[in-house]
This record gives sequence, structure tokens and C-alpha cells, in this order.
Amino acid sequence: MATCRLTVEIDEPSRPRIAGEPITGFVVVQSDKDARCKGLVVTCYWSTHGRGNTARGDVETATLFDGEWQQGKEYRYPFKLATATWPPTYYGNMINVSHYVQAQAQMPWAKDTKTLQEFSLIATDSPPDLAPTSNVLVTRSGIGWIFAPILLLILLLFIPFVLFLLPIFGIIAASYWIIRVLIPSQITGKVEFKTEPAALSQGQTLTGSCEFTPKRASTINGITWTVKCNEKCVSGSGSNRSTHTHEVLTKVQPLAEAGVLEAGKLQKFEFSYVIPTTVPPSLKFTDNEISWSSEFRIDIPKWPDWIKEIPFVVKPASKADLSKHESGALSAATTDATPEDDQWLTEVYQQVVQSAKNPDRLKNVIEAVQTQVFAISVDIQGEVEEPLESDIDEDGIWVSAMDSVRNVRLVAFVPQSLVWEGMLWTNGWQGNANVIGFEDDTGRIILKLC
Amino acid sequence: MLKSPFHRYNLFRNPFGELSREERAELAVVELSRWQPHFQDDQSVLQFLGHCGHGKTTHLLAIQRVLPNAEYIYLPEDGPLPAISNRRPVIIDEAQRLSFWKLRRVLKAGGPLIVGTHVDLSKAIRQAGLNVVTFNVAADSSSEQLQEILNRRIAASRLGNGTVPRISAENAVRLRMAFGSDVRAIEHSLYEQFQQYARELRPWPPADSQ
Repeated sequence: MATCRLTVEIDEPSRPRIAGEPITGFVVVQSDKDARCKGLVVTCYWSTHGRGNTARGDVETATLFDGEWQQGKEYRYPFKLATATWPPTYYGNMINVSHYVQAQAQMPWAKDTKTLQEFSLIATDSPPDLAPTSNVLVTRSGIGWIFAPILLLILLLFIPFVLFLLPIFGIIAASYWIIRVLIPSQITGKVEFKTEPAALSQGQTLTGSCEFTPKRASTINGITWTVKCNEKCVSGSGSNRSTHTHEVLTKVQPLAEAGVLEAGKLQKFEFSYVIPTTVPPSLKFTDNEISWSSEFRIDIPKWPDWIKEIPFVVKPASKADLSKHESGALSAATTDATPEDDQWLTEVYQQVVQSAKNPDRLKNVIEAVQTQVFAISVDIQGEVEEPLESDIDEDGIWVSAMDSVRNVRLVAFVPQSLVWEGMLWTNGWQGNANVIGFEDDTGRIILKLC
Repeated sequence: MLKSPFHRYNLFRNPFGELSREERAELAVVELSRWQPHFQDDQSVLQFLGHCGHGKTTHLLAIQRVLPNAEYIYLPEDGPLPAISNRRPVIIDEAQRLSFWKLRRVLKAGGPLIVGTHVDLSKAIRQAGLNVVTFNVAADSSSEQLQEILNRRIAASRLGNGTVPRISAENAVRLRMAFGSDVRAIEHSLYEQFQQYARELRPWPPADSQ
């Protein structure tokens, strides 16, 4: 039975800390009886959690107290600990990264009492080992050709078993090369595909180009460029080890429609993609990874497609970008809502929900209010897919939100001009919005921020 | 996304995710007292038998927690097997991967020996002149035990004071009917379900499973 109750109180608990920024607060102890504490230890650490094996990094530990606690008394111990510079807080599907302050009271002859409090951390850079080796399609390596025979010789000398396995591996590798490279290139010729930069921050633009001169005329189903972000994690070990993947983002950019490629005519494509500010940066731990890549594909009917994937690194926004976004957030958050406005918004929400099962009535309600601007205060909870009911054709993102005061679930369109790094951080985001619809399958009211 | 989807349930993580080895041992629902006499007996081999995901490793990790001097040795599927010293007590996971000769050598060094295995090794153990106690992890499981396993996981993910979701007895029975005694499959299924409900901001567990 625990003899004391611990609570960690973090100063400004909902404010995210910027990489390495110290975190302060109090550990509060209430003791049920006179007790001796061998050490009240407070630790700032990060940990991955989710589907994959966990990783943990302790940042700073301090002993706040050791001695006697008297029954019924409350003690408050201030702490100041460094936070990590990496990794940033992230909540995904298979992978999560959380930062904690944990307090632990070491009691003689009793089970230690511990408690923790979570806080958010924003990183402003990535470690260098996340960098990909190349952002240009590599066709062959001279060094590799020098070392390959030496390695082969060693294997042949020391592992006779290899003599049996080598032909099998050789056949597999050759088949892959024939299907993926040789056969497609009979039509496409030599394809040069590159993207740049190899590492970029959220909000920056990834550009790419591809050119090739077809060896012979051929029809194609199309040419696409796809930007992908995936979570990949490993759980268990040995024979229980299994790998899980989850698609975080896939954006397909069609570059050419179905048609005919003329022999000898140069085909040149340039493309670009702005990395949204709300997507996760690249992360890499022993058993957990968030990876970004872009794939160029020439879809050739009844023939193996020409496919090449190039990885790249997405870094968190820099400190300079963060301060720019923060000042933008302040100006966007200014609203002047009167109690009458609040009442009117409640009524509009009620009307929309009550009309949900009656499409004609819903249409009338929306038409009546969609040009009105409402001052709102919501908790923004992350990026979501565009609702089917939406017909917005602008650049921007969709977010899930909650009006906690009215207990109303929302989905909101945020125009690109209003998207900034901080918008998903805090509860009680304030701004203006139009009410533009109702999402039938989730029961959420659709807003457009303005 | 910087706002935890788990806080609304008074949890700091999805309770059915992967745990560290230490935490897995700490949360194990294992009645250790019944095995206690075998931990000191140098003629005794305690054998935990069962398929993947049924709790063999959890039993072994829980035993290691009360036997801090015991070495825990995991025998991997691929690659060379680690050396097994003659120090006792020793805990060997995936003991079915020991070759005939290696198993003989391990048994020759006597007990106390605790093994987790997919294959019954009692015959070889008896032939080595040792006593064997076999515990079939699947046969001994129940829906009450499952309920406790799952609720311990939830409690270990508690964020602060206040209530946390609970797996009801009815839900545990239903899960056992669907997955049998494969706890790992149950945890994986609940992980996906919890994740979906958290993403959609819905109350968990679903009303129809309580």
C-alpha cells in the first residue's frame, strides 16, 4: 500500500516546449503516515509507444529530497529539468512519441511510488543520421564492382554453404533486375530521375525532374509522381518478430495521361510538392520509423512498369519559422464575440444537427448561414481527410476540431494562408469561421476558417 | 499532431501497445507462489508449454523478476545460439530450439531450470534423471484471468487521478470466445480498436462490448 501520493505539476502544461527548453514545475507529495524517503527523484524522458517495441531516452534526472515526511502534510518541491532536442512529440497510428516528467519516491521496504505528467515538445532540427545517402537515381557504383568479387571470394573460401545458396540468390537478384530495370528500359530508354533537396523542412517545397527518350514507340497508361509518408515498426523479437506499416500520407501527382510515347522524342517532366506543416517529420529508432519517399512511375500496359523510389528527409520547422508562425497565430486569434453571437452560433449548430436527416432542410439552413462569420473557440485535434460533402476547391488542409463548450464535434477547412505550425498545438484556438455543411457519416459540422 | 488522443480516456498511451520487457514482467498475471518450491530444487525443471502468444515468455519474465540472480536466455530462431553456462537457476526461452546434444548438456548440469517451449521436453528431462513439472499456459487460462491481464494494462497506462476505461467480464468472455487463449491476438485486436475510437473521439470500450 502506497504511503504517499505524488503529483507532478508542470508550469503552463499545455504549452509545447521548444527543443531543449527547460521545463519547470513542482512535485507535490502528500503522505498518509510518517515515512522515510530514500530519494524523491524526478526525471525528464521521452519514450516511443504503440505497436512497435519501445525506445526510451532519459534527458535529465535530479534528486529533489531525501528524508522524513510527516503524516497529513503536503510538500511541494520545485524542479527545473532540460528537455530533449529530439525526437518531437508525435501521435500516429502505430508510432507515438511522448515526453514526460516522472517523479518517483524511493521508499525503504515498500514499493516505490511514481507518477508522471506528459508535455509536448517541438523539435527544430533533425539528427544528421536521418539524411538519405542520395537523392539522384543511382544506376551503378564503380567501388561496388571492385569490392564485390573480393567479398564473393571470401564467401566462397570460408563458407562452402554459400555455393549452394549463391545460385538461388543470383537468380532472385537477376529476375528482379530483369523485371524492374532491363525490360522497362527496353521501352523507356535511360531514365534520369532526381528530387531535391535531400532533406527539407515542413512547409518547404520538394522539387523533382525526370527525363528520358523512349527507345521505341509504346502506349502508356500514364506517368505519376507520388509522395509517400509511412510509419513502420517492429514488435516482438526472434520468431515472434513482426513488422507493421501504416500509410500516413500518399499524394499522387499525374504527370502524363494515357497515350503514346514516340520513339526518340525527349520526355521531360518537372514537379513539386509543398510539405504540409502538419505532417510528421522523419523519425528513426531501432524498431520504429517514419520515412518519406517519392516514387516516379511509368505505367506501361502489359509490360513491367518503370518504377523508382527515392527517399528524402523531412525535418521539423526551424526556430526562425516557428517564431514567424507564432506571431501569425497571435494576429489570427483576435476575435470579438458577444454573448448574442455565442447564442446564435449555438442555435445554428442545433439547426444543422436537427436537419441532418432531412437534406432539403439542411440545404436551406446552410444557405441561410454560410456567408455569416462566426467567432469560434475550438480545440483542434489533427489533420483529417476532406469530407465527401465538401466542394471546396482551394489550397488548404482539413482538421478535426471540438467545440468543448457546446460539446459539438467539427471538421474544419483551413485555407493555406491560415495554416501555421502552431495551429494544432493548443486547446481553445480562437478565430473566425463559416458554417458550410454537415458530415453525415461522422456526425460532424463542417466549418471553413476565415 | 501534438495533442494526445489518449488523454481524453485519462490514459497516456494506447494500453494494448508493445511493452518493455521490464513492464511486461511487472504486469504479468502469474501466481508465482505455486512455483516457489521449484526455484530452489536442483533436481527440478519447470516447463511452460504452449503456442506463440499464449504467455510463456510473460511467465518466464515474471519469474526472472523474483529470481534476479537467474540468467534469462532467449534462443533465437536464426543465427548462433547463445552459450548456456552451468550457473543455476537459469531460465531458457524457446528451449525447443536446443539441439539434442545441447539439451542433454544443459540437463546434465541439473536444476533449478525453468524453460519455455512449444514442444514437450518432459521425456528428455526425465531421461536425464530430473523431475519435471509441466504447465500448459493455454489450458490454465480463463476469462477472469484475461480480464485482469487487460485491466492491468489499462491501469498501467493511467494518466492521472480519476477513472479509466475497464474491460468488463462479459467483454472478456466475448474476447476469449473469439480468440481463444491467444492473448497476443487479443491485444493486437484491442490495439486497433482503441486506436480507431481514439482517432474518432468516441467513447471506449464500445457500448455493445461492455
